[in-house]
Amino acid sequence: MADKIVENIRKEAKRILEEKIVDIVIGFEKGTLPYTASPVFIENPDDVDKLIWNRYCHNNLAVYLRNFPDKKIGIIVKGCDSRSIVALMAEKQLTRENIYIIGVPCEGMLDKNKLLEEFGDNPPIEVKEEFLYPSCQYCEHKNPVIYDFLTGEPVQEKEEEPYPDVVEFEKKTLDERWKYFQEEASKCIRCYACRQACPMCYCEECFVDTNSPKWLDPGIDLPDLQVWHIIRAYHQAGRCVDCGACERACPMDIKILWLTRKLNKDVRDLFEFEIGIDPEKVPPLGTFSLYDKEEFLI
Amino acid sequence: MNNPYIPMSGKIKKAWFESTDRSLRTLDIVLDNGKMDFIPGQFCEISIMGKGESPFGIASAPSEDFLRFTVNKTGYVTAAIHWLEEETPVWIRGPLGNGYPVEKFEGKNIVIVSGGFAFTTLRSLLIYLLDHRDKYKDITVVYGAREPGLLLYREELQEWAKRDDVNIHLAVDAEFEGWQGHVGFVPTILEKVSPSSEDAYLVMCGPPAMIKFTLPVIKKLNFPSEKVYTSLERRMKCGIGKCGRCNIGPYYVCKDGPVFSLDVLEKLPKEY
Amino acid sequence: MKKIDKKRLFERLNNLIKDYVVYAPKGKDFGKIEDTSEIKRESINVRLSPKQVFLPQEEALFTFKQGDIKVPENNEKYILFGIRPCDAKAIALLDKNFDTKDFPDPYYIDRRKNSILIAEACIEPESTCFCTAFGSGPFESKDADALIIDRGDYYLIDGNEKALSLFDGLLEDDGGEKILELKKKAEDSIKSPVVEGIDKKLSSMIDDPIWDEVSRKCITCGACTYLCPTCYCFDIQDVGKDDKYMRERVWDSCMFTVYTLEASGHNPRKEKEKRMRQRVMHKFNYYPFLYDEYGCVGCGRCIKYCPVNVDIRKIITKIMEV
Repeated sequence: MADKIVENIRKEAKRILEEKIVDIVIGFEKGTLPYTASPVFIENPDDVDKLIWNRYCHNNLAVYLRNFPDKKIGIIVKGCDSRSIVALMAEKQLTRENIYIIGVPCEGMLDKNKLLEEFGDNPPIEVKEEFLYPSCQYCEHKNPVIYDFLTGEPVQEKEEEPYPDVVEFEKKTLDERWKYFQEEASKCIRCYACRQACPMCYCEECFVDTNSPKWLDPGIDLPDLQVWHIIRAYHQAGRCVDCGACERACPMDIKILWLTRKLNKDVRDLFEFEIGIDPEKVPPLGTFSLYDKEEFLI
Repeated sequence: MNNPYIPMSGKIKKAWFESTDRSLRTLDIVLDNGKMDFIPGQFCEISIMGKGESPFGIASAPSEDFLRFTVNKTGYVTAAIHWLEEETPVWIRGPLGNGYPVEKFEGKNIVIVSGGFAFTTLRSLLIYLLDHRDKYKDITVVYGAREPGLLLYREELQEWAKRDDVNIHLAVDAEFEGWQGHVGFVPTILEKVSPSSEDAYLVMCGPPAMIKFTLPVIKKLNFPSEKVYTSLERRMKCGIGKCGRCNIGPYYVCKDGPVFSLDVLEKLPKEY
Repeated sequence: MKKIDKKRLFERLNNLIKDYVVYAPKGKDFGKIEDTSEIKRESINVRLSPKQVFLPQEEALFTFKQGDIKVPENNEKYILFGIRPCDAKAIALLDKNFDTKDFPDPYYIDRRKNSILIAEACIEPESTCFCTAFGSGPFESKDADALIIDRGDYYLIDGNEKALSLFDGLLEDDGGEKILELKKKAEDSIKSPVVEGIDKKLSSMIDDPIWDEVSRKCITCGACTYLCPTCYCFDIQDVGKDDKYMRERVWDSCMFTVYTLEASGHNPRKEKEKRMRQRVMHKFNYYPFLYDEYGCVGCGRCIKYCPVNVDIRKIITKIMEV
């Protein structure tokens, strides 16, 4: 099955390069570490055999789409990555015509660190759900929502409540939640891997990088670290496709996904909106409507 | 151990807007603990406590009893510096960098080419050369700006123009009411003045566009790359070659520069 | 070589905590310990490297209040226990930038001169290790004050007087134990790329298309540089704290766009291939030019923690193939 997918990806990539439908194809190649695939950029049709597909292709390749403004791009996407493309289109960051999307239904990506811990350098044959990345465990859109070419059998989508972790977390007391957040934020070294891995973090000038006004101090004082994580999350409210790229990119293993997931849940509950489904629909916090709920007004 | 990060205290003796558009402000500063020894072309870091430090070329000559800086308002620190009034305390680290090779220049003809507000350290150099006039042969200055009001140190320029031991060629980009000097861009005027490259060094400071179009003229005038010097600007922090950001190849602009000869730059990445 | 009982070594180390600030592996990272029971390794090498002791991520250069500059004093003495030979070498490389003749850095030097480095040999190096590429190795002792080798209940130890005197009265004869085989096994397990001549080669590769190629997947975060034990680039910023200002030194990274962004908006290293070139050139061309040593120790952190699997060994190999 997986072999067939790889074969189809290579075939289609070769075709669109040869027929000049695209100038470049962004996909995955074999990584240099166990349980690792790595982004690759193919321009020569003869190089398509580098392309692979397996359960370690966790990077959200949509993050590279804006790096090639003058090129027509072929891109290989999972469900979450396809939603990033839709979200970027909704925010007028991409032109659909310039992108050729090769979609692959996704059964969830496997957590490299968990596997290393459990199996060392010898990959297992059968892998259980518990080795999925957290973002993949709760995933609601395993199948690409937009594509020009699809390979692989559609995967059964989950029907249950998509935010069980957030619901659980909301039950904690304010103190418990604050303490948890402090502990997680305190690990931050401000390398901004979370920001850089996120397709939606495309601001030309990030608020942490400006000096007039200077929103927060440099360094690793806890309040500054917390401000970074809070504002990063708020800027994602209702814009985050929940791909988990930020959390996977973090070298310090900070659990940051629940913050954006909580905001996503709020936006869903308040505005009945889900990002990355309809490219015509602007995220609620990016637009104004007279009918916006204003329950906070007395 | 001397702590190279600690600034010295001083006071602003005089401050005024240098250009008619008020984008440039000149400060004359006197240090609390006596004079600073330096070479023309060196720079200092001026601190505004709570805002930060920024590097500025020293515009005064070693013979003058104040330190002069002309500050272009572009960012956070420079805006704060523009607010400073006379008699305010300031903090300074320096002198930093290498400066112009004034000893190498001895016995040679010197050509100074400059545009806009890059004339600062060249004022320092020119006064130094005039202070030691017998050590140098012909001195030629070609200096231009968009309009007369944007030339730095205008009164002094007029005084120097009157002297017969220095050739001053001032230019503005386009005709301007009452302007008596050259009209045209610096590269054009340099070609017109056509100073001899024989036994000569050329020092050039200006905006990137001026440098770009002046380089071919310099080549045409047969100045070899090793006899052409320029002063570079880069974002700097420590000023002592430690923090890493201002390197061009293995050289730090703050420590090994800011003055480089063209033949050195030609072999390095164009990261400036 | 001498032999030292592990239990007795840790007892002594516990006593030394009174007089020394002791850093050691604490699970994933390297950190300050209050008791030797905190010493724990989760992997062969720690994630946050020992450079943090001498170049903390954030430190005050001075405070400023009402015209008065105050420089923080530091008279602490440090023991860095159980650092790996690669990290000891990294500290020797940091010395070259901070302990210079022209501008010695007092903050760095004050801590460094009062430090004792006790390195621990890597009996089982990781798959990302490539220290042998740079003339070092898993049993290299020359950059540390002492080297210990784990032998189960005891360590073999060798070092200078400064380090060994910490363990006065505990050192026993090693009984002629040979470690050559152990050392060779460890060295042989490391697969290092060939780097010979890369410094000279890079001098002519400034405008090579390779930089675009090797930087494409890079997302330009600072994980590699912050975790790198030899990366020392920093920023200086003023911070208002309580009723005073503080001039701070904080880590910075050449991978960030703003690192070289000028107030005018001009940025000499705007494109990421230029920033990648800078990182690689600094380690493999500029460092050898300035100090006759490569600026990389082959610890493998940048490989292990890169979110997109940029592998510096692969970049080295590609450069060597050009």
